[in-house]
Amino acid sequence: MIKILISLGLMDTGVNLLLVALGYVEAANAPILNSVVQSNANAFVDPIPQALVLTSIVIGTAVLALGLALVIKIYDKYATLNIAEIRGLKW
Amino acid sequence: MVNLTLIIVIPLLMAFTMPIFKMLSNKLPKIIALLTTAFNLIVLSTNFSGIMTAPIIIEIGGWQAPFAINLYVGPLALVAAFLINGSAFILSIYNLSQDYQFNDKFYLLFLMITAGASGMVMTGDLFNLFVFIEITSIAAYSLTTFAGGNSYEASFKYLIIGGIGSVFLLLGIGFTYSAVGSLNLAEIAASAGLINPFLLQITALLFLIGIGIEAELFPLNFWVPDIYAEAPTAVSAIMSGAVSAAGIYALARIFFTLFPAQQFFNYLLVIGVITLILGELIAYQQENIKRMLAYSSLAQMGLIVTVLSLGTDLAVKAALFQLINHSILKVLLFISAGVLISAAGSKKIKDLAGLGSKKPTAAFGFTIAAMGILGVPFLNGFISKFMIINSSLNADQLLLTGLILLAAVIEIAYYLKVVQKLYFEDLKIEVKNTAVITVPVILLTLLIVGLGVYPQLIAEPLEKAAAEILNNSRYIMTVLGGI
Repeated sequence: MIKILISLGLMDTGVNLLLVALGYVEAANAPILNSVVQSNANAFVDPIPQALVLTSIVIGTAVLALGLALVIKIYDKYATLNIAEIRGLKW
Repeated sequence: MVNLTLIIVIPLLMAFTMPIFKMLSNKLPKIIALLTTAFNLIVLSTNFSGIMTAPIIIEIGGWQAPFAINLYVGPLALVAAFLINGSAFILSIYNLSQDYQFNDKFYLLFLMITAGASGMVMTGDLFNLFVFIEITSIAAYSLTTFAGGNSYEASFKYLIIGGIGSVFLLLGIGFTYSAVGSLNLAEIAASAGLINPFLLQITALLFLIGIGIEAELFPLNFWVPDIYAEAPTAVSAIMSGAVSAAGIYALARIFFTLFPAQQFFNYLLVIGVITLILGELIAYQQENIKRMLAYSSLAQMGLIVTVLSLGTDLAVKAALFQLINHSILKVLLFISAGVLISAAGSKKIKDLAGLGSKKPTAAFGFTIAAMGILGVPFLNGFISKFMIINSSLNADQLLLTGLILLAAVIEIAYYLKVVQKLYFEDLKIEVKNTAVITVPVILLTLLIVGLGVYPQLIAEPLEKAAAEILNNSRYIMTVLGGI
């Protein structure tokens, strides 16, 4: 079960990476305006995918944490992490 | 007129202040939940006539539509929001006589799921839709576990499927963004024609997987029976009455407003029919009453999607009417089944025999809702079933009509089996004390009979909502204005 959750986390990370890559611009800065380094708007990477990824990382973390909490509860009941041995619900 | 943003904001605020209320009094959380959902219904009602004349668009942060996230509340969203908050209100009444361990946390999540589902139907931004779907489903994962026992396992299953679904959804959003350069639903719809057709197909498929999980479509719905059977009754009911309605709304939004293309409707049609037939067949074999209701609910979702994807004006109206009926009837079915189950101390249908005289209110509620689903005349299900058959005949889909009728026959068989057990068999069992559901049963019965005798009541919203689904250029115009 832990491994299922690890895979879920990997999937999440993969998609997040893809999203960041979508907004990548060759040789561009981080999309932050400041007075120290003068930069023009053309040399920014797209900030929206980064905002999306930030949100989705948070969501992914929440789902993983909840999943692990459930695993603890299930382990308490069945004393195993092997899903083949957990058969409380079968239609 | 009250600002519609409050429908999302107030439940969230109340949700997170729930522990404080709990500190003041142990009884307070359930009352707060009731008041909050009642408040939502009032806000929706005061905006009713306004939305019927023109959709309300709220631009958050005061920026204009394509640049900021906006909320879009048209007739369709209004209908869906009424369903969601209505079911939440009825269930809060039901919850008054229930006691949960950790009741502050239960109501916290209950209000979260209400806010999330309302947000899903009101948002005008693709990524916002994703966030609200996640809020709803994370709340649903944890709400399921309040029943203890096997519910952890059910919840884990849902979490895995939901997690994978959300990854697909996110991927779809990423592709859409890279193709269109915007996340605003109206702007995507306006430039959907410019997307590479191949990419469009993949994106649509990704959305179908992501949202199909919320809308309980085959083959993504194997979490449904487990969750519905193991979760506390109020949670099963809100999942069936509100969350799946929001799922259907999101599906309609994506496939009718964003990417209207005949081929996607054909996919949806096939998927819907498979869901319908499979759901009814499996429901017929179930011995566990909640599982039976779960499969029946899944079949109804299939029916709604099937009829929706016929795409004619008549069919869309029929599907929306069926969606409304499904929410009302399933909430009633679940709460009365919940009472029957706790009275008999068992979820098996055969153990419920003879409860008709011992638990008259719950048995009456179950029976009238079952009759409604079967389409007995003068109840709301009759009108929507009639409209569905009518519209599928009008669309020259004889095979489809046959399949829908077949499904209805199977449905009659398994619902009447339960009703027969309740009234015409007797089993000497100790009846346990249960929750009191007189008020919800009366309210819902009034709705069922009211809509059955006088369907004109919701004719105008239905008409406008169907027009909104079928005509996406008006949606684009109202959101983007002159840009």
